[in-house]
Amino acid sequence: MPSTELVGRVMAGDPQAERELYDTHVDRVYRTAYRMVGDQDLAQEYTQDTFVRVFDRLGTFRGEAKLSTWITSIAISVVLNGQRKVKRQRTREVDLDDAQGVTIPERRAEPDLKIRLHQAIDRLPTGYRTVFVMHDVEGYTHVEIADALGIQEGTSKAQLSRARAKLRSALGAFEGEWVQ
Amino acid sequence: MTDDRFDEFLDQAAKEYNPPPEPPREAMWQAIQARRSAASPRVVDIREAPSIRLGRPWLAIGMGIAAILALGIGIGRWSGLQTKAVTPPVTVAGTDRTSERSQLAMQLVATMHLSRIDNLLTDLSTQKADSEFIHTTRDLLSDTRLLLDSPRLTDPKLKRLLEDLETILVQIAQLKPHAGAEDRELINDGMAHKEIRSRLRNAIPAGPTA
Repeated sequence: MPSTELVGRVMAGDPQAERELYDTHVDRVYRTAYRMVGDQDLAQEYTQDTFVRVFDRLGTFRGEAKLSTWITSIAISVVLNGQRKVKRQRTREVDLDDAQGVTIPERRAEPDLKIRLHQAIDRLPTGYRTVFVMHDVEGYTHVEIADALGIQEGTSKAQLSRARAKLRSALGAFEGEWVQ
Repeated sequence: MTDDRFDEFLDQAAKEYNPPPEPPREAMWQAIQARRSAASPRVVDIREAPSIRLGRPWLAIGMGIAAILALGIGIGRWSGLQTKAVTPPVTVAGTDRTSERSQLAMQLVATMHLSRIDNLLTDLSTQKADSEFIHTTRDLLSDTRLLLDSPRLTDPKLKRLLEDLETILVQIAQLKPHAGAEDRELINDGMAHKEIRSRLRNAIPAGPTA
């Protein structure tokens, strides 16, 4: 069914259409949220927040973008806002640990190359990381990313290229090991 | 090493970054429906609430308040939009009255909302962090965010309090069912440090309205 027709039925209060819309998009939203946060509870919370907002704001969907892109843009906004708050919270907790003189022993053993890569992805600046996860991990196109994030397609490509360069540099010590 | 080889490695290894588990579709759908119906301004829900068999009586009251909260925020936003849309450059008495009404609505919903949080924080020391408790916490967290987003929230003191409460609610929402005393202690320490309970009670002028 075309998404405009589905949206119309949801707006008319058809509960089956609401469920249909949810079923069509929930996997993609949850997967993207999970890839971004790596935490089941948070991914679940962000997915729920996303759909509450989607149903709340469906009247503002004009059909200029694809429905899936519009929903993704809400999901990304929910995840990024949520993560800012989580980060603030974690920073406070780290401060508390410092104040109490708690130290985490340095890991001696070098982790596996893939783990190093995943850690390097975690440490990317938010903008780079968002584009990298959407494109290289989840397979969104640059057009979809640009629509969802409200940026130019060229900006998305540039962010991805910088993200990859940063990862390459972060894994410099392992040069050559990716030939397996 | 070449760029191609690195890209090849990246393409393959990136796919394994935070591999998502199967989404809990039904559980999330139920939670979404619950939040949406709690936010729906159907007055009849408030009257029906006491007849619903819920484990904790204040949950039923809370559902009603959530409906009023959503209605109040809606009124606040609507009157905000109306004011922006029709206000001429010269202030007129009608605009003042509209503004007063929406401020009053905001005060009312904020007081009710803070009362619910106060009840929850009281229960925190005695209740198990079971799914019902966490669900209520998440509802309160969501309502707190709605209030913080409201253009009618102009009181900086109330805003600061809601921001601090948001942080506390995030911590509570992340409690595991069998969270140890240390986790709760950490939350209580945070509350004590920010003087949350006394600020909360000061912000509820005549005690809980619920």
